Amino acid sequence: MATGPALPTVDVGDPTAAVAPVSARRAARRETVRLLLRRPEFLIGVIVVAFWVVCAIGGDRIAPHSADFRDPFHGHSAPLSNGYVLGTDRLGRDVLSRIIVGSQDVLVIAPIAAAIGVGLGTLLGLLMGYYRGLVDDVLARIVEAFLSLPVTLVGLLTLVVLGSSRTTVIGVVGLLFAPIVARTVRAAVLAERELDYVQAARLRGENGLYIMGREILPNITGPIVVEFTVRIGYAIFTVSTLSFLGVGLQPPSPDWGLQISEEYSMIINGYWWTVLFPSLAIASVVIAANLIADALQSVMQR
Amino acid sequence: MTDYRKLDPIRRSAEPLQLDLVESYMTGRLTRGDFVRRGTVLGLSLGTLGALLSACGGASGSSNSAATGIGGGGGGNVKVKQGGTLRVASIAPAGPLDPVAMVDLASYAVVAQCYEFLCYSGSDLKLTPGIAESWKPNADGSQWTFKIRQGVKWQDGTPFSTDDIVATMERMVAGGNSGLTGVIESGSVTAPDAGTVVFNLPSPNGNLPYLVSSDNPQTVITPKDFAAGSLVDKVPNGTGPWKLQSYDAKTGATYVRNESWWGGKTPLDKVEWTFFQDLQPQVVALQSGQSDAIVQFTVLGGEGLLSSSKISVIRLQSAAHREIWMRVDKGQFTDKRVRQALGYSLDRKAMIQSLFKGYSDLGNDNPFAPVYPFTDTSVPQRQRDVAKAKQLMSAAGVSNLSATLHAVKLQEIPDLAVLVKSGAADAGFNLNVSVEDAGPFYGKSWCPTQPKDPPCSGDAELGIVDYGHRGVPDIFLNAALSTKGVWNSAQYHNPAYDAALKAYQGSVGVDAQKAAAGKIETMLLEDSPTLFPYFYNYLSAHSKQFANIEATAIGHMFLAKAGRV
Repeated sequence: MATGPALPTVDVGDPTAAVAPVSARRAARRETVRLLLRRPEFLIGVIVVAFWVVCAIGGDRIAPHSADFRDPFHGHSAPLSNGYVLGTDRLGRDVLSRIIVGSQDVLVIAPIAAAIGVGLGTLLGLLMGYYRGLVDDVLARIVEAFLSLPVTLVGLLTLVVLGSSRTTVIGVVGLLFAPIVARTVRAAVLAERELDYVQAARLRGENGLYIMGREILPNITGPIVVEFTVRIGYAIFTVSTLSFLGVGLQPPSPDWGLQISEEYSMIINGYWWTVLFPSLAIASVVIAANLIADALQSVMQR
Repeated sequence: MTDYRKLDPIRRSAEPLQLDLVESYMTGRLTRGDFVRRGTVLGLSLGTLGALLSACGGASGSSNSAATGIGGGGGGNVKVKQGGTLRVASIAPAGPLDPVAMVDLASYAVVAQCYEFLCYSGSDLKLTPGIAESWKPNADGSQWTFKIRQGVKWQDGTPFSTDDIVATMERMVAGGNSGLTGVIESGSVTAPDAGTVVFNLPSPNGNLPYLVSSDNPQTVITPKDFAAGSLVDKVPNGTGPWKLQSYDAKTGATYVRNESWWGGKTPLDKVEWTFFQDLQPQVVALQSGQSDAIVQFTVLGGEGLLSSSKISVIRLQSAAHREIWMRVDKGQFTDKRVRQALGYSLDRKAMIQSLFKGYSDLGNDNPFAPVYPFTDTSVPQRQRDVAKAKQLMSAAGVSNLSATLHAVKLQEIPDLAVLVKSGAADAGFNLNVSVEDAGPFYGKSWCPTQPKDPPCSGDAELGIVDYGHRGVPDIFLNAALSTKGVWNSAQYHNPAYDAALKAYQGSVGVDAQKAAAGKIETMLLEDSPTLFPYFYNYLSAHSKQFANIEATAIGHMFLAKAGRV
């Protein structure tokens, strides 16, 4: 488990206390970035993500057609026929355009859901790891109960009950990820709370919230950043799965999982392109996120 | 050249309504096909119809599938081998096999293997005899007399009687059958003797035989002591060609030949039905030889079957359709100009091409499908006209109307919702599509059970629901559009419409029926409580190793004559 380097502790009453750690952190960050840029898997991941970010920002403006464009007389056109590079779906919609525009959903929903999960999970992890005792026992049992449930199944049931919208999907996926992150953060906090700089803060009379937020949190950003990156990959996968199961985004959204769900039954008729290309799009983003996460983890463990 | 020597004896013995039909044909107001169709409804036997056609100068040529009492698409009279098993792929029944309460096509087909109807409605809308050998109306269509076949036995050995028919119809009344509500009442059906059943109707109805045929699947004749709520798989019985040997709601059903069937010995020894949850496994099963027939498939997903040289496709022009309902009593669609605007925003031709590759008829926002002979085709077809739609929205003082379009997850309906949304956006509608599973959709969005009065009054303001084929549109007109209709999800209430419907139901002459239909078509086009974008073709298929398999557009597959070639 990467916990990051313990930063120098600060003497109580030292007037330069705020300056030294800040410059040290900046130096550490610069070193981290330098090391990351030397790792090929990080660069590949960033290039792939950047490609999809450009697609998401460009959307309809760079796609050959709008996501809702229909050519009813050319349904299921094969790739490179009738002027469609990746072919058309059953309603005559351009697969390439829908993949480009569909990246907006992925690149908005997944990071926000991951951020919610990491934010909430970090808060829970800090509370459990720092206070331990009764707080840890109660919260840990709740977290374990959540972890025992399959994420997809809980997401499916929740969305069936609450109804599906972009906001609901983000909220549900974020909440489902929080317990997983909480466990990771708790482990990191448990290691940190016994270190001298935390003891020093306690001796200074700082309260728990201050120690968690200003002392411990900056020292566990490494695992949190890695966890965030990993969760983005999982969020893409989870959102796509929920869409595939029909409880995620609703038609006519060009969401990649929904596209696969709508077309997979047509593969038997030879219409492979409507499923293959959205699947490749999902795979590329998930792999890119994992490559970045791997690189971050390796660098931060040094 | 009319041969009056042949014609006059038939005319002299004809009932007034039958005479009106003959006159209509002779004066050219009916096509040959429409004449035969309508003749079967009015109880003219196919032999008599053939003689009439011959006397009026046409070739008789009327094929008679009455040998088995079963009509449908496909079929035929190909010589087949004796023996063997047919394996049928079907969607699993959606609920218990309660013949009174069942509502899904899969259940209809499973139940109709063992239980029979008074008469059968084929894909060509001709009625053929079943348990009833013949039928005829009185002068105004308020009384219909059915002559019942003799020698029919229940599979458990109990003798069949006309009391069984009377009891079945009483159960239809008590259960609020969608086709017979308002048509018959308790006590309307009597059995004056062992071979006759009489329907005394509260008001005339020219289409009654359709309403007690396979078109109204719940009217399968069950024994008089058949308790309401009983399931046919728990107490297997019936008078039909097949005996239910085993049934599992998840996996399938097995039938063996009913040796005591009145229709004789079936060519096949056994029929095995396998249930699937989706279309694709069924298509694969048929293509790979794991199944010999598929009850129903759609163009999208079943294109492989359409082009296969080893598969026979049964294509039936039908009245099966989708209805886009809009609440007229509250919400954002109370102004008929808004509803009309949505109607003008639909690109029906593009829908048919995208969703059915052309295997469909255009709808004109009323339930009179092109397949019906009495549809008034002079009513102008509503075309996509975005400018007019915008004009109507503007006149109604509505802009950027936002609403949720509820759609059931069934066949092409989610795609239809997408096309409706897309077309409507051009006219200023902002529709959010909500695709729902069958349970929540039917129970919550379409027709919730509460509040009970009026029915369907707790439903959503906008949605798309599915309707199967019927040989006459009476159920669509009555249940879905009349005041307090049991499926009136639009909550359409128009006394003029109710009166027109009454007139249509009472119209038994050909001209009167066409005139009444035209009036309703015009009225519904103007009020637009519900949009009817298309009437799609029903598709069924089987291996070319088998023949004489008959399908109907309401989901039946009749196998009494089927066999291996």
